[in-house]
Formats: sequence, structure tokens, C-alpha cells
Amino acid sequence: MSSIRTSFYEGNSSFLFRVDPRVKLVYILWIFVMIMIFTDPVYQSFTMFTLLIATFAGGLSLFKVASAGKLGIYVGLTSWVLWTIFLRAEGSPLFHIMGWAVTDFGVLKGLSVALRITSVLFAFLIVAMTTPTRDIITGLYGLRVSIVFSMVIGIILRLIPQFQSEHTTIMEAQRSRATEFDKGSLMNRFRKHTSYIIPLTLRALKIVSDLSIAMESRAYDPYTPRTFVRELKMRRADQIILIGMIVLLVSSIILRIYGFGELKIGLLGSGQ
Amino acid sequence: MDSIVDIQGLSYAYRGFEDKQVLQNVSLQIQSGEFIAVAGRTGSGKSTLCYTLNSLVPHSFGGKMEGTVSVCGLNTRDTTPAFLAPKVGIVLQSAESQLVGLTVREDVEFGLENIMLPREQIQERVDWALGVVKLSNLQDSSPWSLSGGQKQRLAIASALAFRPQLLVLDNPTAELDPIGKQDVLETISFLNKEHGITIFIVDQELHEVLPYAHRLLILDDGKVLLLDTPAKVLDQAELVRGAGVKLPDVTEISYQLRKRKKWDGQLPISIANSTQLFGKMIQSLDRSMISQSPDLPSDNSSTQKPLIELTNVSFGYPQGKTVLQGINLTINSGDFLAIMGQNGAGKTTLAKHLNGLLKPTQGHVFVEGLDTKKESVAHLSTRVGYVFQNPDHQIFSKTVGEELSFGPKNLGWSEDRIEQAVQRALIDIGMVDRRESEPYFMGLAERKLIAIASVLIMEPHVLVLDEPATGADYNVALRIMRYISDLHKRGLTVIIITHDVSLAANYASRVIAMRDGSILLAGTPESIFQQKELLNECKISLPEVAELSNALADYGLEKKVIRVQDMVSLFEGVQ
Repeated sequence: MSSIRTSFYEGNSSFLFRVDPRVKLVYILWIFVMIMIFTDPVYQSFTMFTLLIATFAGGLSLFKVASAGKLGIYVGLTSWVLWTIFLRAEGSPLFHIMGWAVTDFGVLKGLSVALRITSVLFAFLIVAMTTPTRDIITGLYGLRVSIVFSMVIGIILRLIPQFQSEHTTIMEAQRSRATEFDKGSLMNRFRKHTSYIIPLTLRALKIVSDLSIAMESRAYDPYTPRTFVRELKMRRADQIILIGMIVLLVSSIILRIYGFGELKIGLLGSGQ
Repeated sequence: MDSIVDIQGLSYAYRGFEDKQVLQNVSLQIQSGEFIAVAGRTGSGKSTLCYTLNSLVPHSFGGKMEGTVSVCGLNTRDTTPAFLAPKVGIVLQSAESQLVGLTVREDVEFGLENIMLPREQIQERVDWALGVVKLSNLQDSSPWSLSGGQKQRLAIASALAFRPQLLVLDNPTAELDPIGKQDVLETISFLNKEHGITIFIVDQELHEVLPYAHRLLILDDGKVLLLDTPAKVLDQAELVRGAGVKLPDVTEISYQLRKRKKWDGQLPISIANSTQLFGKMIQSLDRSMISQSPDLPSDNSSTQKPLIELTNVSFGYPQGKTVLQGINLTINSGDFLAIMGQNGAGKTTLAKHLNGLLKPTQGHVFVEGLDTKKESVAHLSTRVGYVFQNPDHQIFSKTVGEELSFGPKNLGWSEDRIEQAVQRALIDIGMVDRRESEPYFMGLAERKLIAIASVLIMEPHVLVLDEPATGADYNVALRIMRYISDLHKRGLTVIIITHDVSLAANYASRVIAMRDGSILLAGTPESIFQQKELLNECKISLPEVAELSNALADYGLEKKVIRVQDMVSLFEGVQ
């Protein structure tokens, strides 16, 4: 268990690390709104560019961030491909694969959806990698999010690595009984997977139950106020970032109202 | 002294099981500043009694409670665990399940934040609590990177930071190596002696906890069986053993001698208070009985057929530290090998190489001539069976029969062969009439036996067991070990990973002691348990009998005795 990873937090002293956790949490929300305002990937790319800036400001390597979010990348790419394949009735055909048209609208729409999926995930990852879990809880509480919700987020972040460790042990225990999860018919594979899903579920319940006993024994009561050792202080840099986000958000809304940033057929200039 | 705990006529049944009382008419008082040790078989109500002291019972668990529990003058029915936390600290068996913070310091701060202490006071108390348990230098570390003993000391610090009057500890040393146990118990004793904190500790290893205890409470079937000074309680050895509690070895030896009318007077409870008595008996023995045998029992495994060979094996996780370094080991047919060492020494990592779950980053592991790097775990599972420490990591089927047949089905056996094998396995573990029972709702002993049988059914030639007896009470441990011992006698090669030196001394034919991923000592138990200094480096203590044997050297005992039965046989010669 000593190799268990307890959070996403990378623990460095970068600029983003010093930013008030409330500002970083607002940034996640900002990314979500900004990416939803525009449907044109060209306009969305500005929002994605801020993720790049945040990565560098957090002293994080692109490889590490990409590795942490590889599941999101797979989902995004899959979504892009699916939209490209199935949205063939709109837009102009760019080319054909075995008689199946790939249109400009399908490609752009798929890209737009993929960017929406991945942007929020990466914003969360960058914030989680540059913010200790307890600061995230304190930040949520500081944003007037209920203490129960804030603690639930904290506990989930605390439990994920422990569940991963349990999952590994259970898989090893079943592999020791000659279980080869990737072999056999579909039905057979399903049967094999129950051999770890059931113990994992029961272990998860036990872990959560033990943790709740431990927390309650240490005077945790979700419905009473508590002290937070970490004192939140908004610095000038934090205020500038907040103002910057507000200005960009308002500007984006105005642009959108005036018809900019909407995905239109023929954007790739394919002859329509 | 004032009474800090006053329990009168306490009976309790958990929610959903109201007709099954886990505590029955318990009445007891604990004085301020006392150190109370508690023991009893699994299910005797020890943990439940702990939970009543900080009002988790009945407030968090619900259920039906009768009688009264008064702690620090407060009736626990009228108060909540959160309100009692500053007065009653509780430490649970699994240190990891109690970790809340992402750093050691955060973990201790958590409770104090909940009671809304001002920030300055929190800092001051955290500094103090970490200082008391000697973790100040690790305050910025992740709790998950600590050793087992350190994690449990952190749990104590988290409770201690409240400055409680009563500290309740539910089996806090069960998962620790011997030196880690000692470390934790010394910290608890320090809190009792120097800070006057009342201690209520559940611990099955009486010889470890009794040197610190003022009184010993034995629970049996939810009732108070015995409560008195340790000496008076253990003098009723028959009752104590009957309650599923293992006697300290010196008490067991004298109890056996009392049964043979070779021991008069009270039974001793520690080596210190028994050496003189045993010493006098030694002096009355014939010299030939106490002199050193010409040769120690030799390690005759080299004459056997090698089953597993590890040559220069090293292993490290990607981007992690090296866990095993240059391991050379041969496991022969018929061996009963015990792998020992402190938490994190690499015991489990080594064992996982034996059935191919882990592949060496350097060197080779050969199982019956097959290089594990080239073989699948499934293929190797018919040669080396691996039983994990917690049966709940393994068991998932609705019935015992289905659980047992899972492995053979994976191996593609015919229905007839599977049926015959399941029948044999059920007979082996004495569960023929429980084939259709749900394993998950059975007791720990039964679940462990099912876990072992569901691996053995695949007919491996070697069985690896990770801590087979940990967490089990004496009777359960004995039942499991007898089953394993029988299998060994029937020709199975057995490898156990254990912290229990008594278990290794009693059952193993060979012992290896590991430190920092390397094998420091290897040999027969008799030869290993003579090397106290080197064992200490591996955080392994001597078996109690070996300690007694060493102490009796001053009285002329030249023989090195490491097993209770051998010591009893020796004293049987006393006229």
C-alpha cells in the first residue's frame, strides 16, 4: 500500500499553485461556460489556449497532464470520429471512404463536441494537480458551496486512489485463480468480471463505512460549522485573473450575440 | 481515583439483528488513569464495547441498547460522538481506514478544525501531539508513505490532539510487525504514565500488552467473563483459553505443567516474574537434559528436489524505488518456509514473484523449470497457489460450491472432474453440508478456509499464504494453521508470509528474514531465532519461549528452546 497515490496534486511552488483556490475553482466554471458559448472550434481554441497557459503557469509538463487525462482524450477522439462518421447529411463532402461521405460540418461539429468534453476535464486536472485537496475543500467552502458538498468532493478525491489499490489487489487475487479477463466468449468474460466487481463493491462499502466511523469519532458533523486552518486571502494577482476572466466572458457573450463563433456549414471552404 | 467510565447493565444488539445481543448485561467501572487491556474471541463484543465508550453505539450504529454507559460523567445516550470526541479518543484496528488528511499534519488538524478551535490553538496542539508520538519530522509527508507503526502512531496523535481523558484503542497493533507493535504500545504506555490518560485497549497478544496493564478484561459471548489484575485473570488459564484467548507462552508452559502436577502456586504472566521459578526447576534437572545438543537441527532442504529457484532477482516499480534486490533463493519440495520482516521489507513483493503476478526487472524466477517471465499467471496457478491475506479480496460467489469451482472452470476442467474436486475440497474443510451456504456471511475462519481451498482445488504443488492467521483469534488461527500443517504433512510445499514469530517457530521448517528488499537471514527456525541482533535489524523479535530459554541460560540451560511444547517436555523431567 505504500505506493498508493493519494491525490492528483503534484506539489510544486509554481505561480498557479499560489493562486487562491477559489479563483482556480471559478476558472473551471469559466472554462465550462466559455466552451459552451461558442460552437466554432476556431473560437473555442482561444479557451483551449488558456489551458495551455495554465499548464505552464502550474509548472506542469504537457506529457503529465495529457497522461492524467488520457481517458478524456480517448473519449474526445472517439466522439470526434463518431460525429464525423454519422453527421454526413449536412455540409459538403470533403472525401469518401468506401462510399461513405465525410463532410466538413461533421468534422467541425465532432471537433467542437470533443473540445467541450476535454476542456472541462483538463481544467479540473490542472487545478487538481496544482491545488492540495484540502485547499479545494476550503475554496469550495469559501465560494459558499455547502460544507457537506465540499467535504463529499474532498472524500471522493481521497477515496479514488484507495479504491484503485483495492482494485489492483482483487484483480491479482482473481488472476491467481487462473482468471484471464481478456479471454473467452462475451458471456464468459462477463462472468469473470463479476469476480472482481462484487468484492470491489463490498470492499468499497467497508472502506467508506470505516472512514465515516473514523471521521465521526473525530468530531466531524456535516451540519455544524468548522474552522479551516488554511486561511484564504485574495491577492492582487488573483483579483487581476478574476477581472480578466469576467472581461473575456462578457466579451464572448457579446460576440456570440452578434453572431460570431457559431459553427456554420462551409467553414472549411469546400465549395458550397 | 475517580471513576471515568461507569457501565451498568449494558446490553446491545445491532440494527437489523435486534434478536442477537452482542453485549449482554455488561457492568464495569474504570478508574481515571487506569490501563485496561481487553481480550476475547472474534465476535465476543470487544469492538462494540469500544464503540459504546464514545457513543458511536447507539448514535451512529442505531440498534437496541439497554442499560447505561456514563463516560466522564456524561450519559452516552444524551451525547453524540462529535461532542464526546474532545473527551474520548478512539483508534481503530486499520490505521489506513482512519487517514483523512493528505499530509501527516493535515490529518491531525482535521479533528481540531471540526471542534472549531482557533487556528493558533490548532497549530499548538498539533505540534504537541506530533511531538508526543515522535512524528514531528514527518509532518509534511503523506500518511500513506509511513510504515504501519507510524500510521498507527499518527492515528493516536489525531485522537491525542483533542487532549482526551480516555483513549480507546481497538486492536491497534494487529497489522504491525513486532517492533512496530512495541513502538505503539510504548507510546500508549507513555501517555498513560506521563499524561494520566486512561487507556482501554483491545489486544489479542497478551504477552505484549500485559506489561503495561493494570487490569485485564476477558469478554466471552458479549459478557464479562473475567476482570481483575492480569495475574489473577491468567491464573484462571482454563477459562481464558476457553474464551479463545492465547495465553502468554510462560503462562501456557506453567499451565501445562500445573496440569501435570509439576507447578504449584500462581501462574506467571511474564518472563521477568517467572525466570527465577523456572530457573530453580532447571537446576533440578539432569545435566544431559539441559545441555546443548551436539548439532542444531540441520536445514536438510538441500537434499530435496528444487521447485522454485530465484536467481539474482531484483524488482522495482516504474518510476518507483527498488523493492527487491539481488534475491537468491531455492524452495524445495516439502519445505515449510516462513518469510518474515518488517512492514515494507518486500515480503509480499517477493511472494508475488513466485506465481508470476510480478515479473523480476532483473534476474529470473524458475517454477519447476519454467521461467515466470515467459508464462502466464493462469498457467503457473496450477503449480503455485497464492492465497491473499484478506479472503474478502477473493470471495465473490453466491455459494461455497460455486466459489470452489471458479478456478477449475477457468482451467477448463470437465464437469465431472470439477464435481469430484469440489467434493474433496468440501470434505477437506469440513463443509460438506454447507455447499449451498453464502460464503460472505460466514465467520472469518470459514472464509479463510474457503479462500485457501478455492486455490488448493487447482492442485498446485506449492501454496503461498500471505499472513494466514492475522486478524484471527487464537482458536481461529489454530484451526487455520492445523489445516495448513496437515496439508504440509500430506506433501504440499508451503510458504507463509508472517509477522508472528511464534507461528514461524512452531510450524516452519525454514525461515528467511528480509530487510530493505534483501534476505538478511535464512535457515532453520532454531538457527534463526538465536540471532537476536540481526533479527532486530529486520524488526523481528524473538519468540517468547526463545527469550525465556535465553534467560534460563544463567541457570544452566544450554539448549536453545523455541517452542512451548519442547519447553514443557523439558520440565516434565522435574522430580
